[in-house]
Amino acid sequence: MTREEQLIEAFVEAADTLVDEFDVIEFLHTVAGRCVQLLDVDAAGLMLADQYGQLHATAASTESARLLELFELQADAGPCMDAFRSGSQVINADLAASQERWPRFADAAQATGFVSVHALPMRLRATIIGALNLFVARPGTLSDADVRTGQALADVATIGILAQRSVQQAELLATQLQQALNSRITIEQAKGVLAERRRITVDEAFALLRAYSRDHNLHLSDLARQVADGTSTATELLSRPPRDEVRARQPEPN
Amino acid sequence: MAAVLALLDGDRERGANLPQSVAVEAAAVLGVDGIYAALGTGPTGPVLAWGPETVSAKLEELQFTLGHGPGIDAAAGAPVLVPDLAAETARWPMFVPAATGLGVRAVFALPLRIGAIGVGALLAHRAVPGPLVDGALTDAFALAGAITLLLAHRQFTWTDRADDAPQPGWAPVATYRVEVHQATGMISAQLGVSLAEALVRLRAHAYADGRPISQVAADVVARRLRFDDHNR
Repeated sequence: MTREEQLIEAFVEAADTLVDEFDVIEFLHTVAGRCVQLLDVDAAGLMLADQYGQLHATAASTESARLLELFELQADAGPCMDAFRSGSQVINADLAASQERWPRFADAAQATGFVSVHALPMRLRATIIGALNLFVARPGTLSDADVRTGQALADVATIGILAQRSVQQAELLATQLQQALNSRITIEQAKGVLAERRRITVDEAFALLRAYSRDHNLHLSDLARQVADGTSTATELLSRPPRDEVRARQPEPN
Repeated sequence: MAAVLALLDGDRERGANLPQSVAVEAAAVLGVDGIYAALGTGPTGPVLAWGPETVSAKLEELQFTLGHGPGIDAAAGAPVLVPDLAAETARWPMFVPAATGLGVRAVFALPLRIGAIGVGALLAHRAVPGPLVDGALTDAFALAGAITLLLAHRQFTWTDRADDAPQPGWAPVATYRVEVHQATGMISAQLGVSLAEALVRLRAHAYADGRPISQVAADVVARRLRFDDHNR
């Protein structure tokens, strides 16, 4: 696919959210994946703010624990927090030169191998709901075209969240955000259940959850809830490989 | 609302339960006539757990008796905001006339949830129809988050702990790191218990060790700590 075709596809996906029922977390993961595909960046993630103004990682291009950690560190200080508070883009922030600005985040991001970082606000008119975070592992700057495309993808993600149901009142925005954040917690709980039952890491558990929801045409959040609260009947997803059977003590979910 | 949350927090430190007076203050801040929390999402429906005044108790009893209503819907997962109850007769055919008879014209119900853990619902009501005042919904979500943990803790406290005092390390759900939720899922699978009970066990373990809950959770996720080893 050419870049233009990819770009068109990204916006068609976004337009679909206005028409069809969709899963907001799955959609945000797709947007994060598109960022890595379309922009000169190595990792991307979206952070949404809760009612306390605290940011939470909601979707990322790679759900590795290391990358999620980089989002969590920004709860206190980091490019996403800056973009969220100011409503302005944070572009081409050199991590080596950002020790004072974001001490813990800059260290951890560099230790993970990133050189620079960008954060684009997710904004609808006067309301800022979070930020899109882009990580780059090679020296160089993000082109103006990439900044514009990145901001468009952040806008698309924002619209997607709001379009989850028809939004006519400002209060529904808070409701949608709350639902998205709670879905995210459910996914973490489901990752834990699956990791334990299959004796795998939580990162692997997320990959399995997502693949299963796609293969079976299920909403990621619905599947996660069923796995988390023990009502899932997806036995091939939940069962352990046979070699673990000797140790196995099958828990009875309630 | 910060002041109301601080009251909840201070009260927790004294080891008491949710004081009814805080519900009155919270209602005033939210611009409603009354507010209450109901526990439980199971087949028996929610049970009134917090909320002082008569209308709240009657509203809750009504929904419990009828088996339907905005509180029951909210407990199932999604916020239910009803600025004009009269417009929702089709949705709750028996509840709407009965609630109107109590003088209630607007109802706002929020789920009390931590991910897939359903604790119950927070319900605010008002005699005058119309939406919540600006900013009230955000405040209500903050209150719901704080109450969720307090109620979850009370509901699932088990008997071998003599003191029912809430434990250090209490913090709004918002400040929990992802490991806490992942560890909750893992402990739930290890012990074959609900997520709610798994979360309480995790918090109790952190309390017994005098460590932050996120640290203990990180040990569980890294598989340095299992809960089925020392519980058998």
